[in-house]
Amino acid sequence: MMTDKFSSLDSLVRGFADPVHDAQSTFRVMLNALARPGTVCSIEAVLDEDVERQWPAAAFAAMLSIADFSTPVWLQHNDEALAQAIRFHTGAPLASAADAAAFAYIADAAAMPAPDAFAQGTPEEPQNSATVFIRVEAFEGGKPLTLSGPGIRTSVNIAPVGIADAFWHERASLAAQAPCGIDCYLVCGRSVMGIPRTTRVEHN
Amino acid sequence: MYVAVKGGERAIEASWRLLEAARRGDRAEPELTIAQIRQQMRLAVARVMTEGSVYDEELAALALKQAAGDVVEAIFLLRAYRTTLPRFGYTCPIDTERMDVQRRISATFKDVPGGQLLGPTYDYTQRLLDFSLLADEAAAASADGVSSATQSDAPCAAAAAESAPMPRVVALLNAEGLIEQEQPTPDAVEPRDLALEPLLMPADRAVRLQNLARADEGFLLSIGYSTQRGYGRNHPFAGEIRFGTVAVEMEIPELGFAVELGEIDVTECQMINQFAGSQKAPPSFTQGYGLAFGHSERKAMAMSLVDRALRAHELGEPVEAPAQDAEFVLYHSDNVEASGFVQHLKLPHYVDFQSELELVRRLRANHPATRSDGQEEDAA
Repeated sequence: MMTDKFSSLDSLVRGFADPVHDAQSTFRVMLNALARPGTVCSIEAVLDEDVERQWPAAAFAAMLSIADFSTPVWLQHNDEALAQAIRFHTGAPLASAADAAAFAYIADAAAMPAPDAFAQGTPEEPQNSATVFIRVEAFEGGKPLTLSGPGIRTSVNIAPVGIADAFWHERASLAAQAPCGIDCYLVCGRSVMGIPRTTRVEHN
Repeated sequence: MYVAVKGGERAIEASWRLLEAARRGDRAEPELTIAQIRQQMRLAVARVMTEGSVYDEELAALALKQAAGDVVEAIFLLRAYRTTLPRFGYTCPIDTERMDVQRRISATFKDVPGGQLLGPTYDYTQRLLDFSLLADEAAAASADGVSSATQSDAPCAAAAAESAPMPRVVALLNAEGLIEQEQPTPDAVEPRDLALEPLLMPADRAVRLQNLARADEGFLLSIGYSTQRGYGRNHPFAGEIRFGTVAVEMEIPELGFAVELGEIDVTECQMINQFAGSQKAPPSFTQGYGLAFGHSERKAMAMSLVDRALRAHELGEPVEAPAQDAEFVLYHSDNVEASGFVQHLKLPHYVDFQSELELVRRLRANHPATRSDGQEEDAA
C-alpha cells in the first residue's frame, strides 16, 4: 500500500525553483490583485512546462505560496497529479468537502458549486473563510460585468469567460453577511484577477 | 515649543555601529563562540528557547550573543525569526514518562520507585562565589582535580537513567483516589494554537498552558510566589520535577505511523495542591502543571503554581487573588509584548505630548486655583 502511494513520484511535478523568493513575489502579486479588484495581474515565478500545461500557473503558484498543513485544499474535480503536487510541496491536507476547505480550486467554472457551499467565516473570525481559485478561459469576451467597491476608484468593467450568471447572483445575495464571505481569484494561465468579498459585481 | 524631529537616519546608522562595538567589547579579548554559549550558558539558552518558543540551542545561543546577554531581547529575536519558519504540522504529544531522565526528584515521597536522582542542580550549593572560576580552567583542574571527577561521574548517571521508565509520582496517589489524574478528554476539540490565533477569554486550560509555557519567567515566578504568600493560597507540594531527554515524533499521513524526528530536553513539574472540596467533590489533591524547554526548573515550578491558581474557577474556588485572574495573568505574561509596549515609550510622542500640553494649559487656565494664584500675583 505504501509503495502505491510512492510509486507515482516519477510523475510529481516540480515546485518553485527558488521557494522563498518565488513565494514572496507570488504572494505580493496576489495581495495586489485583491487590493485592486478587477485588475489583471501576472505572476513572475517560473514554473515547469508540465505545470503550465496542466493548470493555470497563477493558481498553482498561489497554492505553493500560501497553502500549508493548516489549510485544507478542495479540488472540484479529482485530479491525482494536482493533489499529489499540493500534498508534496505544501503539506496541505485535501478536503473532502467544499465547506471544509481554506482554499478551493475550480477547474470548470460553469459547474462550480454555489458560493455558499464554501466556508464563509464567522463574524468573530471572518478570516476563516474560503479563498476560491476559479479557472477561466479568458478575461475578455465573456458577459460584461461591472465591479465597484473598496480598491476601485469608480468602477471597473470585466468580461471573464465561463462563469455562470447564477454564481454572481448568489454571491450578491450573500453580501449582507459581511464581514463574512468568500474571496475569489479568477485565474487564466499566468494571469490572476482578485474579486474579494467586498467587491460588488453587477451585470451591465 | 516642541518640534518634530525629521531625518535621524544617519544618527540611527551610527547607533547601530556603536551597538555592534558595545556588544563586542574589548577586541583584545577573544570573541565568544556560539558553541561556548551553548555549552556554558545552557540555562540562559534554555530560557531563550522556552520563551522564544523555538527549540534550537544554536539559534538561542546566537540570539544571546547578538543581544549581548539581554535575555528578553534574545527572546524577541528568536520569536521574530520563528515567524519566518515554514510550519510542517503538529508533532505527537511528547511522553515524559518515557523520558531519559537526568534529574528527577519528588518532595512528597522519599522512596519513590525509580529513586530520587539529583543530577545537576544548584539546590545543594552554598551560593558562595567560586573564585577558582576566575582562574583558567586548566590551572584550576590541575590544582584540585575537579574536572576529572566530573568526567568519571557522568557515565554512572547516564547508566542509571537508562534503566527503566519512571512512573509518575502523582500516579502513586491514584490508588486511593486522593489526587485527580490528568486524563485526555475523549472527543475533545483540538486545542486552539496560540501561535496562530489570538488569546481570547475565557481561555480553557489548553490555551492557558500554552500562554504560561512562553510566559516570562520573572512574571510567573512573582505571581506563583504571591500564591504561596497567601494571595490565592493553595498549599503546593512539588510532587515531581523531572529533567531529561524525550523523543519528538510526528505522524506522517502517507506512512500511517509516527516517525521520530529527534530529541529535546525538557523540564516538567507536577505540583500537588490541596483542594478543600466543593459541594460536588470531596476534599482531595489537585494538580498544577509546568513544562519548559531545556533545564528550566524555576520556570516549570512557577508555571505549575500559576496553572493551579488559574484553575480556581473550574474547581469552584473563589477567584479573589491576582494569580487566579486569568485575564490579568494571561494578558500580562508575555515579555515580548510587555517589553515592546513599555519600551515603545522611548519613541517620539511629540504630537501626542503637544496635544496633552495644550489640554493641560487650557484646563489650568480655567481652574479656580490658577486664577486665584494669578490674582494674588497681581495683588502683590
